[in-house]
Amino acid sequence: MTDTKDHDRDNAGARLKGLAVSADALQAWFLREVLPLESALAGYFRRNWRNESDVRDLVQDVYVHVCDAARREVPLNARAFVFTTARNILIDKFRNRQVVPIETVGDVEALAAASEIPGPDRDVIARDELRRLQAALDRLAPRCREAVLLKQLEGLSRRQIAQRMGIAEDTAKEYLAIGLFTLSDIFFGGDPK
Amino acid sequence: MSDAAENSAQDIQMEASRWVIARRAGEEWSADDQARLESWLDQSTAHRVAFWRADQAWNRTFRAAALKGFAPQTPSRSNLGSMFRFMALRVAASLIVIAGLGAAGAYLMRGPEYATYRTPIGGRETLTLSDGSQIELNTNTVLRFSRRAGQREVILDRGEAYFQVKHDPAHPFVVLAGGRRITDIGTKFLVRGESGRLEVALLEGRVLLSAPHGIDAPSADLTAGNVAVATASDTSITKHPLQSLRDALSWRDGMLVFHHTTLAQAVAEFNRYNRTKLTVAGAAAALTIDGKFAARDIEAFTETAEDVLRLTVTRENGQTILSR
Repeated sequence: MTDTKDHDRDNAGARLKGLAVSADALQAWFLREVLPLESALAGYFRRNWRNESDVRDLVQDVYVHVCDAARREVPLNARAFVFTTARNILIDKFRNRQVVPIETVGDVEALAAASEIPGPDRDVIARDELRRLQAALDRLAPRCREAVLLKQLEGLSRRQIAQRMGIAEDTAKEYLAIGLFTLSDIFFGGDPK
Repeated sequence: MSDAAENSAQDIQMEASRWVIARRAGEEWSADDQARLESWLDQSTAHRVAFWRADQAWNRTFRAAALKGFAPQTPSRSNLGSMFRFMALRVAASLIVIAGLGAAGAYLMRGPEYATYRTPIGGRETLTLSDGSQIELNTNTVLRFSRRAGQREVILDRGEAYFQVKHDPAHPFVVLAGGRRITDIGTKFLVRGESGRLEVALLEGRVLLSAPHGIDAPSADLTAGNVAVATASDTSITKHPLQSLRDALSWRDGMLVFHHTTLAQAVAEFNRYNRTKLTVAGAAAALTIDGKFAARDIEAFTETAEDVLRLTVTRENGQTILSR
């Protein structure tokens, strides 16, 4: 377990044998199995890597690696695959710095094994969603929130939002993008705040 | 390992967010735009994953927003709430109030030609018409149906009714309520009238909602998702996610759905369905509540309010008072 290439061997028994995975199936798999792990994944990196500002890039590295691998065949145990990948990415980074504090990457076993524990009931998640949205919207800057609500609830175009808010169209576009960026973080938990 | 190493994950996620916003309804989206998006996605797996992620967040926002309907934000928040409620389409001036009500009164005089249906407080009834149309009456409702052959005309005197109408161009289905005429163009819609205020919600199809009687103004054309609130003098029309309209119809299953509803509003809803009246005292009125409750089960509601909102429930003189 000293090379990122080892992900493949680790999970060989846990793979579906089959044809190349379609883009839609890959997307569905990522959204269903991988994305919900983001907050745990970001937490793992935050505990084991000093530099907070690298966490977003590390999470992205994991996503890219697991999706590229899943394009060939989808791992059966996504959670184990994701955290094994995370550990190997960290080990690579430590090695590049010529420091390998093995014990700090150890908790990946527990994280990977958590797949055995049933997750929260899906209904509970659905009921929780409303509260999360409310909380998420409350955390957006007022102008971003206004732009997002005008788009989401009233289906206005950027031009209409710009007119309504008395701002330039490019500004409206940026408010919306920032709003969505922040909402993504809040929903998927990569946001440390 | 990521070929996007030259760009930070943050830059990529911002760019992905811009694409998701640009591609959504309400924007012009050409084949060229699509080609540019695909070429951006093909540049790296990091781009693709960031796009999926932002797209999922946007869907989730929409779902939650739809659940939430147009409930006003917390009161401290700007004026968004009132902005949503009154994207008004004003069709007449207040000076016409009396004329409007007067004309409505004239309609109500046509008594004997109509069969009358009533539901008591807490009652519910479904009428199936010979043409297959259905009318469901909610609690405390009075509705009259024209007996004249070939005429499909209903007067909603009081309360709330849900209409599922079989379309027949030769015999338009007309509902008279609150001084207005609602003409169906093949549709499912909800009409609720209370103290000078009429609400029409469209779940499917189209209806025309007339200006107040006696006013020379064009009818408002309502389509699915529209909710019109009409007083004797004016009409405001808003667009709602269909899910929130379906929630408003939970009474058909004997249920009430609340999303971030103030206790005062929730109690007013319960009081429509029950003879035992609830009262909210003081600051408790502004507390908000979420959930789905049996409309006739006041006990379950007060117990939940007691537990979740830490309220005190006192019963005196046949009244149940919720306070903090």
